[in-house]
Parts: sequence; C-alpha cells; structure tokens
Amino acid sequence: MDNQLIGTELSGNLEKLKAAFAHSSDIIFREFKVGNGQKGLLIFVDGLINMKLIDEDVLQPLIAFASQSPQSLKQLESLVSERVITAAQISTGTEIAGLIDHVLSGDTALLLDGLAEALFIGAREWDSRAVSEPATEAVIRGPREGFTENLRTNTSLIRRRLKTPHLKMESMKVGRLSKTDIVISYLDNLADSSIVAEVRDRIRKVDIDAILESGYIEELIGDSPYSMFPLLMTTERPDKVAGCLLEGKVAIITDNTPFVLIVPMTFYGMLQASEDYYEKFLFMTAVRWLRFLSMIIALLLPSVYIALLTFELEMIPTNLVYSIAAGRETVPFPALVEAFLMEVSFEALREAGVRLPRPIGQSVSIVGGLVIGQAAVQAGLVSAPLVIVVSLTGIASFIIPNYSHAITIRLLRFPIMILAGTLGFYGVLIGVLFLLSHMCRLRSFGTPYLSPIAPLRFGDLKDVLIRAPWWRMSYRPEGSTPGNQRRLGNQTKGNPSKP
Amino acid sequence: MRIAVTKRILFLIILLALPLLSGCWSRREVNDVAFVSGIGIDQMEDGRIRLALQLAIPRMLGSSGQGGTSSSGEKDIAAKAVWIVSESGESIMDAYRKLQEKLQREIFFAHNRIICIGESMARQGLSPVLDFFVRYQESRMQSYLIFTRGEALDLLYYLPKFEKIPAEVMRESEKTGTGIGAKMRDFAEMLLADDSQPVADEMDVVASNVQGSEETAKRVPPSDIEGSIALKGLAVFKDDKLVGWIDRKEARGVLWFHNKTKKGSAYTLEIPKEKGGGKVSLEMISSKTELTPFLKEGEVGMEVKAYLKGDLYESSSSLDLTNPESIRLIENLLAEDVENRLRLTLKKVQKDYRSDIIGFGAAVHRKYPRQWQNGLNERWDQLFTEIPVTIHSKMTVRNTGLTGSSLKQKEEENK
Repeated sequence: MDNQLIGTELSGNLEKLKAAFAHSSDIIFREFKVGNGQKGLLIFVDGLINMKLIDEDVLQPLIAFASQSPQSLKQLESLVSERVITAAQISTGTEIAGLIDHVLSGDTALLLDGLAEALFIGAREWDSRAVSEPATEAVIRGPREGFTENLRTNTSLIRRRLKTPHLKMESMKVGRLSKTDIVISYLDNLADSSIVAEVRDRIRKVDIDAILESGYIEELIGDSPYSMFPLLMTTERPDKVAGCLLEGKVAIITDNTPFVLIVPMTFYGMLQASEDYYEKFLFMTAVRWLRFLSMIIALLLPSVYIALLTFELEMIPTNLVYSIAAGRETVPFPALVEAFLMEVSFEALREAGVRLPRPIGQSVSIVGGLVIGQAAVQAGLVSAPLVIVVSLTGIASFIIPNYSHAITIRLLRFPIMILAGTLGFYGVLIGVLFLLSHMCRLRSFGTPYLSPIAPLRFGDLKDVLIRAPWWRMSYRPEGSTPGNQRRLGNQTKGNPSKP
Repeated sequence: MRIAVTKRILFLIILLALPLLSGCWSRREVNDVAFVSGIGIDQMEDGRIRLALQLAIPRMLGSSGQGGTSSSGEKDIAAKAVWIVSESGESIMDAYRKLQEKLQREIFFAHNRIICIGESMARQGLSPVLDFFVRYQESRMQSYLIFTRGEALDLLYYLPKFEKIPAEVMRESEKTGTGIGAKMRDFAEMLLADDSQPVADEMDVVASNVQGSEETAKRVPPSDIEGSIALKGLAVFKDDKLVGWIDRKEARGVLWFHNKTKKGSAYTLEIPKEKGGGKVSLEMISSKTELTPFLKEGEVGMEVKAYLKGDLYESSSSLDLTNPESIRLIENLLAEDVENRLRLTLKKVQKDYRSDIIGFGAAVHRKYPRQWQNGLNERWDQLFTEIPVTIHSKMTVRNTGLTGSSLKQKEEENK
C-alpha cells in the first residue's frame, strides 16, 4: 500500500480503500453523484467528524453543482475547492497512505471520478471532555481552566494567553500505530534555539508503536533514564505553561492527554506552584519555605525518628524520651520495622484511595484511619508517637505541588529509613549526601538540575528561596534567554502614585 | 554492553548490602534501656561508696501507660514511676557494674537530671566521685549537682506531689533560680580554676506545713505533715572537700556577689519606730553587683558596689508612699540592710570557711592577670581571708503597686 498513488478511476480507488479498511465498521464510504453526473466518494470515520458540516458544506453543494459543466479535471478540482465546498479547512493529497492517515485523523476525504487527487476537508469533531478545573493542581486564586484531552483545545488555551506571533506551535506525529499529534510550543524570541532543536531532535528519534500519554515521551526523551527524579515538568495548567514559556522554556503538548511536558526543568521548579505568582509575595515566600520544610519532613522524618530511637537516645529531650518509651513499652518490633510497617500501610492506603471509586474510597480511608491510627496503637502493635510521625510525613508529602516529584520523595524515604535503622544518623547522612551528589549530576536538556543554587546564579535566586515581588523581578531568568533579558519596563515599580 | 550492565547491577547490589554488613552494633532500642533520672552517692561506714540510681519506669509515665491512671493514690503513682536501686563498691564504676548485673535493662546515664551527694561523702573529698562522671561518655555535664546534710539516698526516696519523677522536682527547684544552680560542668570548672572555690546548692526534705498552736496541730496532725524538697542553702567547698553550709539568708548574699539573683526574691524591711514603725516588703526585680579589685603597694583590696531595683508590694507602715521622701527613706534603709547582709556573708566565707566562693579571686585575676600569674594565685588562699572590703549599695524602688498609702494609713485618715 505504501507509495501507492490515487488512481483516476474511482471504482479502483474504492476497491483499494475498502481492502485497506476491511472489517472496519466505523469507516463510512458515502458514494454520491455530483450535480453534473460525475461520481464522487466521501470517506470518513464515523464519530470523528461533524456530520452536519459535511452535509451542509460539502455534500449539498456538490450534489447541487449542476449549472456549470467542467471543462477539465484540473479546473474541476479548483472549482470544487474554491467555489463549491464552503468548509474552512481544505488540503489535497495524491497518495493512498496519506489519504488513510488523514481519514483516521478525522479528516473527510473527497474523491471524484477521473481525478487522481483527494481533497481533505477538515471538519473534525468528536466528543471530548469540556475544559474543567485540573484535578491535580487546584488553586485558590488563579484561573480554573485545565487542559483537556483535545490537542486543539490545549493549544488554544495557550494561545489565548500569549497573543504574539512569537508563540510557535510546531506539529509532529509520533507513534507507528497511534500517529499521535505532538506540538512543540515555545516563544521563538525567548527560548534557547539549541534547546528547541534538541527537543525536536529527541522527539523525532522516538520510534514506538503508540504514545498513549505524555509519560511515554517523558521517559523516552528525558535525560538520565534511571534517575528517580522527574527531569521534565508535567502540568495540567495552561497558565503554568504560559508562565514557563515566558521564561524561555519549551512545552510539549501531546494529543489525548491533559498533561503537558515542560523542559528544561529544575529541582526548585518542582517546588513551585502557579499560585506563587498570583498571591501576595510575602505570603507565598512563606509558603515556599513551608514547602522546603515539608519536603525535608517527607523525606527524612521517619528516618530521624528511627535513628533517634535506635542509636541516639541521648539526643531526645528527657521528658519526650520517657513518653516515647512509655508508648513503645508494648511494641514488639524494633523501631525500623515498626516505622516500615506503618509507612507501607499508609502508602497502601493512599494508593487504594486513588484507584477506588469515590464512594468506596471514602470507606477505605475511614477503615484505614481507624485501623492504623487507633486500633494498632491500642493493640500495642505500634506506638502513638510513630503514628504522629507517619501522619506528619503523609501531610508533608501532600504539600509538594508536583505529583511526580512527590512520589519520588515518598519512595526515597524507604531506603533512607533502612540506612537510619542500620547506621543511625550516619546512615541518614550517607543517604542525603548520595542524593545530593546524584542531583548535582543530573541535567535536564543541558540545564543543571539544581540550578540556580548549584551552579549558583545570583540573579535567579529571587525566584527560588523567596518569591520576590513582581516589580523586583525586572529580568528574566538567566540561561534560558540569551539576549532580551528585561521583562519589566523601567517605570514599572510598586506604588506608581508616588511622585 | 550486556556485561557492563550486569556488572553495574552487581555493584549496586553489593553497595546496597554494605550497610547490612556493619550490623547494628550500637543499636539500642528505647525499651532496652533503663533511664537514670537521678543519682545518689553516699559514703558508707566501712568506707565503701554507695551508688543509688533512681530509674524511671516508662510504663508508668506516659499517658498510655497502664499505671498512670490507676486509682491507687498519688503516692503510689510517684512510687511506681521510679525504682531506686543501689549497690556499694570500691569505686563508682565498681558499684555501677554490680548494679548492672542486677538489672535486665542497660543502665543509661544520658538523661540523668541530678547527682546528689551526701555530707559524709562530700567531706571526704569529691575528686574520686567526679572523675567518673567527667570521664564517662554517657554522663551529662548538664546534670545538677546537689548536696544534702543527711544521706543522698533519702533525697532520692522522696515522693513528689507535682511531678512523677523525684529528680524532676529537684531539677525544677534548681531552675527557679533561687539557688546557685551549679551543674556538673560549673562545679568542675570552679574546682579546676585557681581563682575560685566550688559552691553548690544544698537540698533537703523539709516539712510541707508549718506547725503552730495546738489548734493547728489538730487540723494538721504531725503524721500528715509530709516532706517537700527545698533548697536550703549552699554547700561551701575548699578544693574538693566540703567545709560547711551556708543558710538561706547568707546564701542570698553569695548569690548577690555572683550576680545570680533572679527576679522574684522578696525582701522585708522594718521601718524604725521614729518613722512610724511597721514593715514594708519588696520584690527584687534586678540586682547587679560590681566587684572592683585594686592593688595598692602590693596590697589587694576590693570594692563592692551593689545596685538593686525592687517593687514594693506590701506595706504595714504608716509611711505615705506617694511622697518621694518616704521612698527615699525606704531606699536608704534597704541599701543599708543589703550592705549588712553582704557583710554578714562576707564574714562567713572570709573568716569562718576561708574559701573564696564569691568570685573575688576571679575578679582580681581578670583585672590584674600578670600579677595574678606572678604569685598572687599561690598566695590567694591566705590573701582572701585578709583583704579589706568596702561595700556600697544603691537601691531603687521602681513601683509601689496599685495603691499609694497603706490601708492602715487610710483607715487612720478616715477616723
């Protein structure tokens, strides 16, 4: 079928196509006669097109097209596309394979007898979820729009935020069978062209049966494939994508998923939420610190508890050590086993809550809460202080705004717990140092993962540990934007009324 | 390629197994140790050392402990929360090892609050005792050092009302700041320095109620009068040997010399008859003592200046407190009284005990470091008992409370 051209004979084309689309009940072949007696054929996938549009803008005018008789076939084609069909989007093709691609992507193909060319009418329409609030990234203040599974909706959501011709949307198709549409989006005056080229190149190299979600791409094009840390940011929020594009980053939008990838990404970017930039800077600075603290708690608190209780009893305040000892008096396990037991059941509980249908999920959390929280303590299986440690850790891990980052931290907790249980604080230190040196080595599309802290870039620090007020962030982040640094006019300062 | 990956995985497995190799040799679970909350050390009649440990029983301490809420009476709670064990030996280490043999859990010194030492032990000399606690890595230099006139064991056996652990009570009363609050570290420093002598608090069990007339005795029968632990004064040392005790009143003077009086100490003053009689009571807010040593022709002298500030809280005198004159009168009387108090203390330490526990040596050392090194330090023991001291004090009454003249005075005016 490859490289086969469309023949002039309609019946021959029909035969070939019927063979190609054998046993496909959703492919519709609509034969008709143009007003002047010529035979015509419309091919489309049922459910992917707007029937009404095809009916009114294509079929009706064609059938009614009787008045003029065609002089030549070439003229007919231009006549049909220019004067008869009133649909907005039209293209042509001569290959059978191309025709099949177009039809399967949702275009309607029009073949006319005697014409070795097909017209593709873009009247795509299929059922899709409406734009709604993103479930994974809810905000108090900020737009409530989230991406949907529809690529075009998603690009339009970004376009609506950046009304500049500099916003580019490069289209690609990836996946041998899925032929998934992928759009690389960037601002050509801000983004580093070498990074754009690198993204383009890496995506082009992807050769896989299907891309069902952007996670495929994330794994296939990301640096350091064995690393636990997410090196690409995923988001469901168009405002976040727009914000990142304005910092010179590149967005990869994949069809059929609301999750958009952003590169290059740093560790600190994972700890930021779009709301950081919408609320008062003082409060959001405090929230950022809270996030750093929560990340440390989520990663280390159980390990610190284990290390303290098995090796460094003298470091616990006296009254606290008494009450912990009182709680642990009936516990049959060492602290490490006890903590492991609880952490694993907490993670199991969390996972059960995610997968189960909502009504059942609630009852699971109640049962789990009661069993883990109370019954286990009363039965003397675990001590009450540990329950507090586990719940604090759980809450802290939910504060991390990026889900893939949060699960990384959650998982890393366990090896460090083992280190704490065998080597005490020395082990915790080894674990943390190992993590730090690993993170120092990571690169996301050429950008050091820990920048701008390591390597240190002073100018960018005002958006890492603090969120400086907008009127202090006059310059775009370094590195990603060569030239064209200033994002704030000279006159734009706080308190404009001041003389 | 394949081999490289396998090697890498093998390396990773070895790396992951590494922590397991070390085992957990210093692992010590919280319920495998016996927490020492207080230590009592006495000299026995045969010359051996008796080491008594007050061990906390966690089961009785936490809210989830079964014994914590039992209805068997508060006395039992305290009695159950700790366990006192003792053993005698040639040295502390000897006794400690013998004790450990009797216990199933490992004795753990790091959470010790107080070390209490009986009089006979203290008079004998403390160096052999302290050596263990300074040397042993688990013991804390933050433990308070307390001396008692009787046996230290009695103090450990005291059953407190407010806390579950007796040692906790002693630590709390040390923390009120009414004593000198010497910790192990402070005591060792004072002992090792050539310009000061050690001093620490004395603590004893005192009656919780005051016995009065026979009528009160009916309501509070002597058998109901329980003990309460209280700071009673100071233990004065010459080098590592106890030389005597200083009672509460003179102890205040020592604290003044040390600049260690905290807010809250009360002071009652008698107003002379010619000014109308009666008493006024003040609470000291702050006090500051400056020691200014001077060397004149090889002779050492000391000038002491005490600045005190207080709030007047009680007056049964007929003084009109709204009148600045009466305030000045009180201030002068008080200054005089403080001076007398300081003199009294001075006489006790300078003449009776001949031990520089009031920081004179340190003050001289600071001001004349060279002279101190060249001979003063060696002669100081003798010099200290002889140096002339001049004392000046200045008192400020900051506040006279919510009312001006005393109630008594108002009554008289209304008649």
